[in-house]
Amino acid sequence: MSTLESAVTRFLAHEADLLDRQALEEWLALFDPDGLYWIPAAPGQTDPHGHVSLAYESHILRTLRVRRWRNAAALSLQQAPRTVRHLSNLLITETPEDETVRATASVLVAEYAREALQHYHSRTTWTLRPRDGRFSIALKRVDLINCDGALSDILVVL
Amino acid sequence: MRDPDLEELILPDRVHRRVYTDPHLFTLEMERVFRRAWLYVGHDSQIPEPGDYFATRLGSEPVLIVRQRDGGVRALANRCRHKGMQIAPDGARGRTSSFRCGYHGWLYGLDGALRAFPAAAGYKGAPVRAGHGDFGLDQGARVEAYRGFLFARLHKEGPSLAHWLGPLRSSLDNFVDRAPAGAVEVAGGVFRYRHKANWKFFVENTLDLLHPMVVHQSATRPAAALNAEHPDLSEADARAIAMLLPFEASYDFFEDMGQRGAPFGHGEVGNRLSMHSGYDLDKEYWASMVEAYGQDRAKEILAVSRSNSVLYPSIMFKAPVSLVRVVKPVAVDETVIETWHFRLKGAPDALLARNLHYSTLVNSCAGLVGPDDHEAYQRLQSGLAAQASDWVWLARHPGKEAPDAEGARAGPGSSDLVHRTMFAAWRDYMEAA
Repeated sequence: MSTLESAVTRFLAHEADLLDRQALEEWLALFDPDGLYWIPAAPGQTDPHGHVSLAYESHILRTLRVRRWRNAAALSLQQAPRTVRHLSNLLITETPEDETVRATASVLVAEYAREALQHYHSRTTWTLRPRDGRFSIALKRVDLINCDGALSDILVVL
Repeated sequence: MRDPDLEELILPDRVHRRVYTDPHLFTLEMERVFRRAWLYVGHDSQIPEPGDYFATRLGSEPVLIVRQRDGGVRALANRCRHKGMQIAPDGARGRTSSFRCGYHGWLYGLDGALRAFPAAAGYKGAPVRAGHGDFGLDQGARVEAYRGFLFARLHKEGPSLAHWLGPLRSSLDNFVDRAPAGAVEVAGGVFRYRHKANWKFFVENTLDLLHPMVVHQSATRPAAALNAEHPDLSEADARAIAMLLPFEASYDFFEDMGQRGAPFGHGEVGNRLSMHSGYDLDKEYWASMVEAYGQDRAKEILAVSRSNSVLYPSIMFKAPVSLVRVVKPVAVDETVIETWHFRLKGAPDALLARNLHYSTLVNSCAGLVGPDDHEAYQRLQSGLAAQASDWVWLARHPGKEAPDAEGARAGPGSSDLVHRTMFAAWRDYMEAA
């Protein structure tokens, strides 16, 4: 495993661990200030402005999401969902032009909520910026295989 | 099937919990309410050319909505007359010159007439015939359009679409008049959101102005706090916050929005004042409206802000943010809600982007608003399965209603008038033929 590959693997495992432990404030800190969290609503969606998304969130909107998660009045979150996520088939490409690293993985998020287990399957792509020996997230894009299907709630961060 | 005793289910100020939980009543709703009412099926812009079609459902009935060679639109039964196979899967769309069943190759024209069937000689002496009639797909469903919005009705007899729309015609007018070019088109993708609850909870909730400040405070409180903490929000963030905050407007504000109920169960909330009436007006859009209509008329069009309008039972539409939410009942406790978005022709792209941003925040299954409504519906479904009490109350603001200029009945925003109106129509539709 190359140095880059092992560094990216460690970073993504760290992010997955934060999300599964619901350490969401720490998760917020992984992003660039202008970083984006995006769940497209159509396969291969290229435009976040001329087409709806399941989520398209700036730092402020991610912070709002996390504060809502902590808000006891959030009806749908009162039976706090739990997750375990599995990452595999990691592919990494470096883009020297803008000094970013692109990592793509197959991601399975198993979620337990309302006494039911369900699964979210995606190819997820992170655009990462090397920073102080670690990375920060410029874009996390979650391409669910059923993004245009009749989905029920997605309560958790994917 | 035994007819329900409607007098025991629907009282002037309350309804029996069974209307939401009884599978027998759901089956009857599909046979009566969803066959006798005009149902929204889509928009002209989805099928502009002859042979354009899409497959959808009218209640539980699969249909093909097809643009004809003469420019008209037909709703054909999406079921081969031979063995009964669905000809196109739900959601299919495209352009064709005929429909061919993929099982035994029976071939139908755009008008639904049976044109040909393989090995025809073998039917000698049998009643199978080409053409319309018993072996065609057109079984008499009606299709009519209003300002480009397409509605269909399975039942052959009933009021014209224009009559049925009644006072809410002016709300569909406002939806389209907001386009500088006087027309809208489907754009920006579709949400399909599966709800594990009866369809009526969604429809009623869209005209319930006493829930937003309770159900959505988990989104509005953090939004207000972030707004106060960050005076230097980006334009997009400020816009998002501004679209969330009205969900926690005061009780007085929601009361002042007003509401009205109309014949056939239709209703709406908001008029001059609504959850959208405080939005900033895009300068470029305003200029294009003034150019198209002149300043006075443009002002008049944009002063109307009816936030939620229901054409019972199949849609809720929001003219101020150009979207339509379509009710697709699946079972007594399961409903798919589709959200369709529209581009106002002649308006700048920024306006479409704003309206799509609203929908991503509010209508997405991963959004900050929709899942809490859905949680409420699911707990209504489980709460009403309990035998502790039979009644759901629609008793608010009795007698506080007055006729308006368009023939609707208007009341204070938080009244149950709109819900009483829905159930009066529900009862009429459910009466045995």
